[in-house]
Amino acid sequence: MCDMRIIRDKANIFLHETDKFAVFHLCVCLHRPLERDSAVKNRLLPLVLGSGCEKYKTPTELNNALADAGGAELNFQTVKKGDRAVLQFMISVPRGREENAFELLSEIISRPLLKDGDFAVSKTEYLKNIIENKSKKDMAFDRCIELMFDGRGFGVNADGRLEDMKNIGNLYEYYRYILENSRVDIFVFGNISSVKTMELTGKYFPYLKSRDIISSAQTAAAYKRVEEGFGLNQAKLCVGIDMGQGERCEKQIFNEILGGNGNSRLFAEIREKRNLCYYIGSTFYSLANAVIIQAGIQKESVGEVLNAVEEQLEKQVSETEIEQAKKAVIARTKGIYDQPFALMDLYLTQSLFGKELTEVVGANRAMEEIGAVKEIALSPKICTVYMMY
Amino acid sequence: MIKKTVSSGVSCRIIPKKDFIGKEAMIAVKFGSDISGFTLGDRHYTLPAGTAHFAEHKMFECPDGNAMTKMSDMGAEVNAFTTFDMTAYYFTCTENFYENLAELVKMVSKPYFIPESIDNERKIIASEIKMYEDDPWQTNYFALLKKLYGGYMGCPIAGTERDIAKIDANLLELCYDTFYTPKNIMLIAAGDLDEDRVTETAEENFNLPDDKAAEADIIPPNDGKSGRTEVEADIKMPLFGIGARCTEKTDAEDIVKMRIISDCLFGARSEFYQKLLDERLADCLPNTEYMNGRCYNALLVTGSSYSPEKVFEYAKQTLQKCDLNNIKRTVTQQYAALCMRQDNIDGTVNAVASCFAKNTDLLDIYGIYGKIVDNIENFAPILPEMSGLTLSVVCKKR
Repeated sequence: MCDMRIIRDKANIFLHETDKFAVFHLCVCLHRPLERDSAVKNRLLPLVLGSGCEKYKTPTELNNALADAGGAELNFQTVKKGDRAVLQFMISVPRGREENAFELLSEIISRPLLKDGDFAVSKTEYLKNIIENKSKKDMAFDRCIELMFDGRGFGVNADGRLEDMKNIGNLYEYYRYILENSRVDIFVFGNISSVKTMELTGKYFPYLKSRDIISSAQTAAAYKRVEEGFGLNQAKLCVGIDMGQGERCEKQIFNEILGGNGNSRLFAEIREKRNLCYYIGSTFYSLANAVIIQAGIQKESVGEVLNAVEEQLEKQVSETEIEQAKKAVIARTKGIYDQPFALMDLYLTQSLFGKELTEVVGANRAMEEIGAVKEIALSPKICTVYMMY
Repeated sequence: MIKKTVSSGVSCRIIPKKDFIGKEAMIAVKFGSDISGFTLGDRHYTLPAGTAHFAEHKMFECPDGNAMTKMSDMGAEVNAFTTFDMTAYYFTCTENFYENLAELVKMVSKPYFIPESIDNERKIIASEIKMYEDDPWQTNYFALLKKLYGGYMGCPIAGTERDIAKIDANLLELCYDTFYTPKNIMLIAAGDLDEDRVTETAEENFNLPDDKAAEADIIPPNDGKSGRTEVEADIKMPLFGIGARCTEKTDAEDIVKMRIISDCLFGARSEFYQKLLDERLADCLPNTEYMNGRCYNALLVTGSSYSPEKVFEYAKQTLQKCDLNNIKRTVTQQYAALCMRQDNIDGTVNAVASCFAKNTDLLDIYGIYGKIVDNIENFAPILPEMSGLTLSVVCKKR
């Protein structure tokens, strides 16, 4: 399996050259610090840019252009990566239409539709709707993270807050500023050589220059337990765990054992044995050094669920558990070579661990490191309990 | 795609994906939430809503332990789901594919419905039902279907707590014997696979009940009252669902045509959408779906707006006017999306299973699109007669 090639040019180009996909994917990522004041603007920009541009003014015109590029698809979004918001502008086209992808994406990013010096289209109502109508499970997760990382970048809601929408000001001016002051990564997946990639990048994105952005370690705040009533049929429980000291790959394996799959301790104990929930699982956020458990439970059983979680956290990890978890993590990591989005996500995460970009640990090395783990000596500690009921 | 049938009568589809590392297998069973009862011999049986979904939950239990645990131990990610017209069990893995496949086939061939464990599962499913009750989009979707097709279809796939209280081991056994039979089952495998080994594994491990001459009651069509319905939920911007019933029976060609028509009328480049944007009735593209089952077919448009009534009015006008602009580009886009999906193993496997459940074939769908593309200048689909135009609204709690 071939890992990605990283070319440090004006922008950082991550190239995965392969002929196995019928689709060519191109994604421009802009890294911004995740801060309360700018979160809503970072979240709005992909929505605004994805709705039209100077050349293709209306959704009809833009969609016609996508069809004329062989049936292209856009996927614009903002994702949270540690203490950063990463604005992603992705276009996917059928193989053979590579240059159309560069041309169309450049058109959308470089020549937005303007009116009176600002973007002609406002998406604030749409974003307001996204925030207000978010599922309660997602809302509970956001609240837990806010409480656990209060005052830190990872604690900032990447969707922004409703109250900040009043202070957006001129969004286009902000966009111009971030185009010149962000780390810029360009991800390229498909049957394309590095020479061609460099040529097309130079031709269509000459204006994109990467600037380094400083990240800081994300440490959890002091223990908090919060319960909020929303009149729900089912309580949404989120438990934030500070993973403390230790190797990243050990923490990943520990999470797998705890709640990473349908064979995990939490699933077996809390769902299958005690029948206390339908869903329960945990996710490891390596850039925040945290594991978050999510479960849908009856409000009355919260005590029993939390006791069971603590028991599972404190229980000694066996060799068999480690071996099984290693297998699962390695299998999942291997599988991402078939999934451009997942591969991009892995590289984005790996590239934020403070090393030179050219030294980023690829998926192959990550699997080797996982494979080498023999024992787990960690001290995970619950530091946030949030329940929405 | 390779088509095979093993000696037990089960159809197999093998999708070769050279150089792909991930592999997937799915067993699709034509037993979904749309079967409200069945006649076997001279007896009629009524099924509580949620029966197919309950069987899905219990199928993992085997006499020698839980199949999910066994397969997870072999590195597979295992799951299952129930839709209106099928139950599907599947796994993805990068190693031990044939061992996992054997386990999946054995699991579906040998149910183990124990009364005590069924009582325990009831609690888990009740929790799942509660989870859906907190989701206003689900509420909206099923409120719309209820109005279009009546109570059974308007009931969530998992049923209600009252329904699942009526489900026991005997009922699950009966349903298994009736529906988990070769003609109702398809095995789909995708990845860089040895096709002979896939069929050999299926051959060795399928051991299903014989096919029965059961007649299933699939949702009685046109049982709904249509019109308008409203429910309240904890949301800010109201949700709308607009639906209309189409003909009761369709073939693959009708399905493709309706997908194209729906997209032309309500999709991203439609006049309807542009109007919603211009008049600030919506900020994003409503979701348009041509929902087709074995004897129900409906056009559904769902989204959010502060003026659902106005959106409904425009939808009504759009259907009356039926101005099919931009057909060529719509076809290009849909066909490209279908072809681009080939990179997604899971998406392809799901599409094959979904077609099987609807008595169609994914290859036929590709073929029909191909023919349309080749003869696009003469392609002029006609909107079939529609009935029961309905608006459902989920609004803010008062």
